[in-house]
Amino acid sequence: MAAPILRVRNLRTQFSTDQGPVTAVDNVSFDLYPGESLGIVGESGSGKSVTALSILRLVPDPGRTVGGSVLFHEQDLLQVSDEEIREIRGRDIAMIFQDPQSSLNPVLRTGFQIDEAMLAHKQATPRQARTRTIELLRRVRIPAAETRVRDFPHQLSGGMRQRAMIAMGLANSPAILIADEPTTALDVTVQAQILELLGDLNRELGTAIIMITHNMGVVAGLCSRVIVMYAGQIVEQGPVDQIFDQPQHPYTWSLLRSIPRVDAVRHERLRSIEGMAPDLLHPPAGCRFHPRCPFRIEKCLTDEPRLEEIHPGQFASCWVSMDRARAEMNANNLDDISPGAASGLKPGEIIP
Amino acid sequence: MFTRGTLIYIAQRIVLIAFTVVAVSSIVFLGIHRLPGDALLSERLRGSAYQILLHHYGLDQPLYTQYWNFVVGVVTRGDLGESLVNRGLQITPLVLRELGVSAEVGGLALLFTIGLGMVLGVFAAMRQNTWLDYLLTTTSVVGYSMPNFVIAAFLILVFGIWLDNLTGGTFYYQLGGWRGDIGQLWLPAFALGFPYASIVARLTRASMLEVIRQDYIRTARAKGLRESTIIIRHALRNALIPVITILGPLVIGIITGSVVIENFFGIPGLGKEFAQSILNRDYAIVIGVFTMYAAMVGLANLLVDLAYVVIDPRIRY
Repeated sequence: MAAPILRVRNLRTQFSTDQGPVTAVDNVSFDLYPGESLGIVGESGSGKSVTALSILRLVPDPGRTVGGSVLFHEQDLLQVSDEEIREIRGRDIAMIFQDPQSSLNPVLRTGFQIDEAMLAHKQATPRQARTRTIELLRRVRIPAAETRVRDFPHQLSGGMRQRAMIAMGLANSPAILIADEPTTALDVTVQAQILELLGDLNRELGTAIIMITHNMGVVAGLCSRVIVMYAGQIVEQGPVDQIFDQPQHPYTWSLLRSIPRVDAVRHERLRSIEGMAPDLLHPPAGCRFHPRCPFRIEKCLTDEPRLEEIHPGQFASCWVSMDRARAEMNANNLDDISPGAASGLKPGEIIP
Repeated sequence: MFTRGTLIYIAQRIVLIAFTVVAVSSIVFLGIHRLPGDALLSERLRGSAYQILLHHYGLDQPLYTQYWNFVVGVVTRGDLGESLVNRGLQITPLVLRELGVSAEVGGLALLFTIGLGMVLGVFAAMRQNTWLDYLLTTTSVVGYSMPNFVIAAFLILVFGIWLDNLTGGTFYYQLGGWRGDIGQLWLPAFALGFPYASIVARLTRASMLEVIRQDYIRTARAKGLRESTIIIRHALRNALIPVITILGPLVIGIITGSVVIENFFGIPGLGKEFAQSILNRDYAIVIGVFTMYAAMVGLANLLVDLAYVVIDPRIRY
């Protein structure tokens, strides 16, 4: 594989609160290769959005990236000047956001907001920018693009707004497009269209995509590689096929198990992961997933696991790993997934 | 921006304002004639001289005839009548000339209100919780806690006595005088506009702080726009929407505040005439001034409502 276009190393982002610092992103490292489509999944508060915002230094106050590096073209984006990072934003690395309703400025015309992305980097004259905007709107399949450019955001539907956001992201043909839950606010049919569009753009333009989502289905449909985050850390990463087939971290395994299935036996209860996401102000000792993990062992309560390559290209940070859980704890036929159920380490037996 | 619907809306509003103006002048006409005594009494005239004057002004006719003549005069000729105190002085040109003077002072006061208020508000918001923010916030609390006549008296003290070389110690407004003379225009406008500028500043600050946390500001940053472009083009226009809401009452505050300020600085405008004519019991002028005020308040409200259309494309009439 070619050299990575983006190397994130030991990224740490903290939010200072009255009770002390909350580490939202804790030692996150990953590579992004040219033209690939990488998924980052995790539940709310797992640090996936903050990871993306940290790359472009867009973390809102009181957040601060306190350590690590983000290497892009031999430059550490965390070290360059404000003017340099401004030039990179939108030109080399573009980002689109969750809610297209609130992400477009209500008082400016949609077309103008796309023109602006080009004009800000002196990529075009206003006239050229407008021509390209119409071209981009056509490319993201907005009907009657010539007249829609003059519409205000409130005159567009939700799906069209997100398409316009994508057009804005693609305006300067960036090398990387970060999509932060771009389909969450849209209904299912529109979601599918947007994902298809992103997939096409990824293939046709060779734009590398970082897709941030809490939806495993989105990852399966779009991405070739996936990173699973839990409580600010990467718990598993690897090729999508392999991870869907043989997840190694109990959290990934639980996530995949909790996807409702159309072919399931009727009246079967939806499976969920018991417990709550941990309080990042006081993260649990040892493995952060141990309070919710059915396969936990004594070691999990005290020692923090590190990412290790379990299968070629597939990394997981778990003392047990699902290969062993399947072999020794009968994971494939497990009904009771309450914490410690499979390993026998029940809540009452834990002395904190 | 202004569609056909907007033009129809404007036309409707103007018709309504016309009705309001006629209604206000009628109430004032009837009200002032109910007051005991009249303008001529103060001249201590006796007998036939008094009767001759009463007849000259038509004051000896029944009230409904007087009222009818007044309405016909206003509607057909725009004629508000003749002054009772300065015989032969026609009210309409007088009031229009005074309106021009007041508009100059009031317009500048409005410029202070909006311009100064917005600039201070934006700076305070951009430097939130720094000494600059505290300084500006404190200044604006002082500003809107003080009535305009206190500010006026203070300005006269500073610029008329302590720094009298700036003003020559006089504040007399000259028609067609030099506009750079701070005593004749700038200080009165400042006194009139500053309390309202303080309100606008606080509102702009709060509204800016709200807006810069919005998702579309993050989008603008992610696009790689310059910070100045983000503030001016993306944040300020959205932050102005709540400010416009309060602009209606503020414009009316400036119009009514001019009554006090014009008397303070000796400005021969509508406000000074307002007070003077009531003291003189000069019926025709009182009615004329009230009519102008009613028209101004109506038009100011209309302009504020139209400002929404300019600022916020989601609003259409």
